[in-house]
Amino acid sequence: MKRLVMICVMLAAAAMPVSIAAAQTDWRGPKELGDNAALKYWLAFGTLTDLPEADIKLVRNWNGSGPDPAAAHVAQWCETSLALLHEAVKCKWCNWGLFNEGPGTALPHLSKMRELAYRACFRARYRAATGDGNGAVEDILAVFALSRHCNAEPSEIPYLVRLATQRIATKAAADTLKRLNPEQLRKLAERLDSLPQCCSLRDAFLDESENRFGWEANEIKRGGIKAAEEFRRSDPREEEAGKAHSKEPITEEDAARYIHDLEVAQRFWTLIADMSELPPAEFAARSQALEEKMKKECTTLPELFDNEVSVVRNNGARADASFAMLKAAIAVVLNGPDSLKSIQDPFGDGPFEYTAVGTGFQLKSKFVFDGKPVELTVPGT
Amino acid sequence: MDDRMDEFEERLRSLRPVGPTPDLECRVSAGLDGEPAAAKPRIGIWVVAAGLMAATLVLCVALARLAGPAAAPRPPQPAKMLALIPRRDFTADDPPTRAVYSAALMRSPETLDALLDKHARSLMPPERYPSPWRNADLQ
Repeated sequence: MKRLVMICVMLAAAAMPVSIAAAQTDWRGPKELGDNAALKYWLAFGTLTDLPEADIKLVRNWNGSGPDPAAAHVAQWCETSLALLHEAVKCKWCNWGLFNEGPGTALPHLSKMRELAYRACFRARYRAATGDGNGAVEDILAVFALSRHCNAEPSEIPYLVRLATQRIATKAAADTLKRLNPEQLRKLAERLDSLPQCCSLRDAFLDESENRFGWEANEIKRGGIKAAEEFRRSDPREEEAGKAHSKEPITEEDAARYIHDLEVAQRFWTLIADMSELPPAEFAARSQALEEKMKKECTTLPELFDNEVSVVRNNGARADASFAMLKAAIAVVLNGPDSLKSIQDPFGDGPFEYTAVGTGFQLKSKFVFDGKPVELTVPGT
Repeated sequence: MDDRMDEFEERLRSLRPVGPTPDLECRVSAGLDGEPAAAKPRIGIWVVAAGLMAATLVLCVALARLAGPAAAPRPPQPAKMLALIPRRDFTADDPPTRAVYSAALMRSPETLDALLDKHARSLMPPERYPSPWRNADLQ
């Protein structure tokens, strides 16, 4: 009997750590969570430190013209956060786990992603200027991957931040191309073709439809007049137009009008999503016609259609043009300007326009943004 | 020796050892027969110990589960009814929400960039940044 009890106790004692470990596995979540890039990015954000104004300007504007003590100091200061950036971009997937609150959805990661992109591109220039071409290529590719991770959530703002960070990376890559050797250039070109997946412009428009306008319409449907009152209070135009008016009690009819207009907006963004793959000029013409039509259906929210979708679409097209020009520029540095003959401008009928500038060169696309053709300059060494 | 000591010694002499209790006699006789006389009470101790271990185990598992995600406090929720319509009056102090960024975008993409810049700086830790080379230059 004594032996039996002792065996039971020993078994219980032996099972205890196993049970605790099992319980820990449960509360820590699956191991695969460690492959979520977003978690690594937050670690990187935690190590981002504010810089003095002079160094912020250096990070934003330094062209990497040569070794610089100030640049060396700032580059060293960014090392921890950039090491974590490189860990993040190795991850298989990225999920920010945003808490959907419609227009109130918090997006605190986007500004930090942009700052991280600036610092990584600054260091890429510094590395290229000091002869570390491999390091420069790694930093640039990390920012291209980061830009895709910005857009792991499908809405317009993450989409635009993706474009902005991609623009930062494209500029840094163009600035350093002439300092890279052929092997490094080939590596850059190859890996630009295998960047992480992200949401599309179509996803962004559909998300606006559902989680911005649809969300708000549902809130008013659920909350009735009270929710509509709250909604109207948040509209500064009402206050600008006259506070007395905005204090008037809202009626069932007003609430119904809001819901109607929000549903018109929801329908508009869904239709726009289907046009997102059209060439920019055709998109502009068709979206403008649709905007005019929808405005007539709306009585309370006509500004909703003020050109927003064209701005987003044009920014996307500019980023596409710049990205295509970067790949063309790599080919030019590797094989000379003649290589352009086989590379098509996605917004024109032929190749990009080439102009020699000193020991560097400039490429020009047929795509016009803000009245000017989109260009990419590769400075000489 | 005085009289008091004699009396004390007399009383000591009269003392006799107390006989064994029936329980002790029983245990001794059981021991002499080769049976574990104290088995019964010891089983009780082991059972209590095993019970305590099991209770600790259950408590550990329960605590581990309580500390898990299900028990994590819900993050503070932003106000639900933020402006849907383009707000013209947002500032860098506004929270980094979809509505505020959309409003900035409605002004221009550059306004959005500037707001993201401001948010990036305002969200970072306070300045603890040494610039030794620059200080040296100034001196």
